[in-house]
Amino acid sequence: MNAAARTGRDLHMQPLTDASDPAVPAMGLDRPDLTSGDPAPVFGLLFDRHAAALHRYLARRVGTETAHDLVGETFLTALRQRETYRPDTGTFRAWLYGIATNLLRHHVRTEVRGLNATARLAGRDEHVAHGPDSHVPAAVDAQRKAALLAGALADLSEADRDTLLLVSWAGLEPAEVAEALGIPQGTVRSRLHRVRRQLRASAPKGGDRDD
Amino acid sequence: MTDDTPRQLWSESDLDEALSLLHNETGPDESRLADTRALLLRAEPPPETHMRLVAAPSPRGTHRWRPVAAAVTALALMTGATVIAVRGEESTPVASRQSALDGIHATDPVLPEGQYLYIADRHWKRTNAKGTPIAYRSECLSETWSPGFGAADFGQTQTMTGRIQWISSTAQDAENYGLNPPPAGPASNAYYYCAPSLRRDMDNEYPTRWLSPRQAILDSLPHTAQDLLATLRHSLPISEAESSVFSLAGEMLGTGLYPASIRTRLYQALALLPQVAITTDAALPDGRTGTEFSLATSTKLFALTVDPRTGQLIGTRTTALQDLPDYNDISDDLKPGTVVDESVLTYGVSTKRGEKPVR
Repeated sequence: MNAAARTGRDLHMQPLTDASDPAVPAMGLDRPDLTSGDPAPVFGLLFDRHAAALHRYLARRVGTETAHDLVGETFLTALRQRETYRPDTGTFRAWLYGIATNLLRHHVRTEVRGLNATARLAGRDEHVAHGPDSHVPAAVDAQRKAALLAGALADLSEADRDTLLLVSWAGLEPAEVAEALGIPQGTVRSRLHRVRRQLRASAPKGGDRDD
Repeated sequence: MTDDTPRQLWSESDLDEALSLLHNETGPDESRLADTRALLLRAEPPPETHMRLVAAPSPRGTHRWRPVAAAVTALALMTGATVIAVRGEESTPVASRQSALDGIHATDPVLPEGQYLYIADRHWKRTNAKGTPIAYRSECLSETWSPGFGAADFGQTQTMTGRIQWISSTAQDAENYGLNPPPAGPASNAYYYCAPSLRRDMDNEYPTRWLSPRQAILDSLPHTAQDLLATLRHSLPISEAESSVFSLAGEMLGTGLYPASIRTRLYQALALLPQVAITTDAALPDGRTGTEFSLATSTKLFALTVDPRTGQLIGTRTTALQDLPDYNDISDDLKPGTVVDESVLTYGVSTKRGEKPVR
């Protein structure tokens, strides 16, 4: 194991895939066997591979502070429930984001409140116009679009929001989203299609937001 | 925007652009991630957190069956009908909260060195399959093995047992609709099928650390009910909501990982909440009876049933009080009186992690 993996520093590094590392399980880190031997080394590698990306995803949903707590809880839950992970049915990443999605349920109100707060900026051009790009109309327009989208996201069901953001923000493939949410892959695809169509229609309308 | 604004439609690229920009300002604090990593890899428990126990369990008396209540509750299991009224008739109202509390004698099992506390939670979840006349209940079995109270390295599994109770229609009807109730195997949608709906209530947000009670958390809890209640309240984003405190206490008890002394304080804390009702001899679907703490919100009735002989949580139940939408888009609205979900918990001592106790 290299120094970065031991210390947890340089977490933006590319995932560790050194096949000569004895901690890397025979099946690799995409679908590791978590049931044999000391789990600590392989969980160290898995943390290095996924923690920063998972944090970025969670922070976009519930803020950076809560995201730090959730990253820890997600990996701790994965460690405790490692016997239930089946490499033959899905990737570790999908399983991990499934756990994170479950834990996110405790913070739905926080997420919706944050989205509504952002959405309110859409009605206040002075806010979206401030910032380093304020002199660039295109950037202002893009920021305004993001704020408008926030309101539409707040109105989605949890299931729809999870599906969309696991793809758009976490970068999961539909098959992984299906594994993470425990629903058929066809449902993911049809849900994505429906949600995106819904957002394209509803986001431009904006509107007043409450907490 | 106003209604007279011409209807606009974003393009796919508009949507992708907005998605890429929204809440995309911050990256992780690397030093905090490193701390989290170190904590994770130290999760193996130090020897002193292994439990040696405590009081021997009080001898359990014979089951005090309540045939009528049990039968009605069993009927409710099959039909999803409410049990509120019948429970009210069959349960004994208590004039004094204190007398009900005094009747709970919390003890912990004797746990020999190297063995594990075992907690099994059989959770039945009601689904009215979206857009169809089909309704069923599915069972999820959550199992926990812990080397002791306060241990960090407890193990958990959540398994769909494949047991389905068809409330309306049949398995064949469901198949004709292209419906697939959750099959037997590891629960991939455990949050939906295995967790009490009180956990999913948007008003009930709380730090998840309470569900992983390591020794430091146990040590941090106050020693009086009043102070414990204050601590629970202050850990919540909406501290004035009694339902949130009730939910949190129920979740803590449902882990099975809080020792007798803290469980006793939790019951005392619940009794301090004015909205909480306490009844004795409330029946569970498996025929056991216990002391029930319940709280009604505007939409649901939550109930926690405690075995007075051990002070362990042995049952939970959520009943709809008005039409309940399913934000997961799996179920149609559940009508008032419907038992949304129900859990029965049992406890034991296992000689090996991952194995059930030998009876």
